[in-house]
Amino acid sequence: MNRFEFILNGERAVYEGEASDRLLDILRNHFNLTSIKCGCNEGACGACSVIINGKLIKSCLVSIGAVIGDSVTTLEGFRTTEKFRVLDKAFAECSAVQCGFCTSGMIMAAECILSANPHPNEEEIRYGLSGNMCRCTGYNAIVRAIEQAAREGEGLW
Amino acid sequence: MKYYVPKSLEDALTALSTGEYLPYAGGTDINSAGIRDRDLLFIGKLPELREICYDGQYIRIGAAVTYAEVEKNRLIPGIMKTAIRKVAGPALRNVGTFGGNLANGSGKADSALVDIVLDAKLLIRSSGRERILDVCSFYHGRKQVDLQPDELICEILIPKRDYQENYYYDKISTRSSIAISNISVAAVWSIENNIIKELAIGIGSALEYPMRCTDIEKLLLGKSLEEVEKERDALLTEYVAELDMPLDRTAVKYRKQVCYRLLNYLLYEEFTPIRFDGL
Repeated sequence: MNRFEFILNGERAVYEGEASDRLLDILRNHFNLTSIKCGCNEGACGACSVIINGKLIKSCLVSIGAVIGDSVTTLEGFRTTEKFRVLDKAFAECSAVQCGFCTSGMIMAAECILSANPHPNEEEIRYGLSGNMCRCTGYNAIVRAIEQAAREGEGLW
Repeated sequence: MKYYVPKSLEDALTALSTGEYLPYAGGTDINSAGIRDRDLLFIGKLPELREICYDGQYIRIGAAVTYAEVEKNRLIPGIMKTAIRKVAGPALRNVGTFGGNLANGSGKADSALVDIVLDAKLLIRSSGRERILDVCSFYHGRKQVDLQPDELICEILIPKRDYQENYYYDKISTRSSIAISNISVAAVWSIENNIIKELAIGIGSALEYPMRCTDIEKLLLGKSLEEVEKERDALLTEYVAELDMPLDRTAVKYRKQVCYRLLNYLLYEEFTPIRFDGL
């Protein structure tokens, strides 16, 4: 058993296991962070998206040995921010959530889109979401939600 | 299982020479394949593998540089950025590396096709040894590459040439993102006084590995645009018919048809003489 230290949602975290253990499984099973979903197992759907050192990354494609000392943020950590509150309101008002399975990944992607570009146009939003799949909404409601969040969250990003 | 996080490139090469480790740069191939039974060598953060610079002759891309980092770098040729923007999605581009896209031996590797068309070379090192290899010689067959278990691709060297600013790249896949390509075509060229002076065309994904279309290049180099316009259809029909396409999930007939169309589109759009009638 090896010991791996990293920052998880702003706090020091320790995991004991193998370096090849998948970050997705560690976050869900060891740290009980169930916002991370395993949708496809192969890095396509984006339901497992987290933010590592400020970058959107799919946790199913990451081994814990690669993130020693890195800062990992999941929706459970992001949920405490004002930025989340704006996104939460917009997603609700735009009906951007149906089954909810893709939603945590979509929110993390939205945060990364707006952090890089606080006033994205539709094409830029869709490009930023292009790694996240939704089987319910047809994406348009999610795009509208991010546009609304960008307007209502003026100054936050 | 063991793992090792090397403190330097030399340290990594020494560890690799034991024959025990599998190099992990971005790790996307390792994780999507579910490889859990190997000792891993985590090279993704090594500073020696993460630089992009220009040395006066080559644009040098470190093997652990990610697609996202290249997308933003002003040294990188336009054709490479165009190809990278069509790879997967943002989250994968934040992690996938240039070296990994070659070392995985995938015939569908996106940046590898552009490396081939740009005449890139690979700086490959092992403990105590170093070699430079033309990327066109890197592939021997489907998933077979010229890379020993104790070797690491350290840098991709792209010779900087003016004509690389004329380029064409297209990739056909089942979706606009998160889809492995079925066929891709990349090309760079220069035309002087209506004659094709330089030309590099490559086909990716449809064949066993990304390949230069050297037969077409030889036929077109030195030709005038008028000649290309006249001979285009016959030339491409014969070329595509003779292409040895391996069996794949996508039918050979479809891949050949699309390959013809992409090449025809390239030649039609970029190598048709401009005529001003009645102006």
